[in-house]
Amino acid sequence: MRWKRFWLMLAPSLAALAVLAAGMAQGAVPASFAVSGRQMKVSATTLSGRGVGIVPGVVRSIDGRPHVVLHLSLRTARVYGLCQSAEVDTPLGPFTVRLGARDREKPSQVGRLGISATSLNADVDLGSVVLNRDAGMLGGGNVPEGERGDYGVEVLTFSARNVAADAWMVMGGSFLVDGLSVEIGRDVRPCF
Amino acid sequence: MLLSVRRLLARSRDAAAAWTGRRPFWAGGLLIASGAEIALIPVIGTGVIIHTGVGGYAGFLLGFFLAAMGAGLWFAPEQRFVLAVLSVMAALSAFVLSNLGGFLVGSLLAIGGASLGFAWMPREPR
Repeated sequence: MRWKRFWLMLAPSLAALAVLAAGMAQGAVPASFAVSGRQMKVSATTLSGRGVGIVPGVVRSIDGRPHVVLHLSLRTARVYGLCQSAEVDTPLGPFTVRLGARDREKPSQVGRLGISATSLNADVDLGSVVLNRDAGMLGGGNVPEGERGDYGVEVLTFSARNVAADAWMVMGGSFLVDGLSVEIGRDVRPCF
Repeated sequence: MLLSVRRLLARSRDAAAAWTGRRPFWAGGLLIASGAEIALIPVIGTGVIIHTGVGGYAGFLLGFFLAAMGAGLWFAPEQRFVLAVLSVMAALSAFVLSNLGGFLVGSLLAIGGASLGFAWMPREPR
């Protein structure tokens, strides 16, 4: 072992990591997330988008239990005040993980956003709505494949305020968050 | 009978010690662990089978890459400088591209392992 070499490698690497982390905190570096899973809370102060589809569906957890959800998908969306929080069981007890945009004035850009929610609350303003459209026929392949014959909702433009959803899964094809803040701890406040 | 079993155990322990002594064992082990952590964190500890986006694929690719670098340290220790530098790059990419590098743990393990590998020297023959 040459311990001098060890520090020679470790110090600049950790410095680079710190620079990346600081850049992310200030929004200079976009972060990409694939976290998902247990029931979590998603909220936003404003959410506007184009190309919306809602179909019923089922997600299955690893223990095999099915959960009936609404698959909500947005082709493109701008999100202000994005927040996501979930409870995590750790050996040290339950912790709350919270991801959010720090600056409520800067929008996050999301492409192909999909939310599988059990409940969704919002003040909405919809443009060009088709209720009870056949779920298998929504929007030219951009929204999730509903079962033919199921209830479906299609909306062309959409803007919502004070969005709060209990979700099983949030997928973003692309997620550009300006000024991401990540918190984990026992006393971190959930989103709502 | 018992004696020979004990002797066999002692011999295999010696063989293992010789094997770990000839290579940057802990460095490679840390890298493999970090790769596994980064690749698996979207799957484990979540509860629901998930669809992952770019972050999921990046996690798998970078995780496998880091694990491969760890195996490389074990089986081609003479390449340790190149492998260590590549591992650090992958660890930093994973931090940006995949769940903050497995929530920081994976990236830190990988950087630690890469530094250990970088510092490792073969024992002088006596």
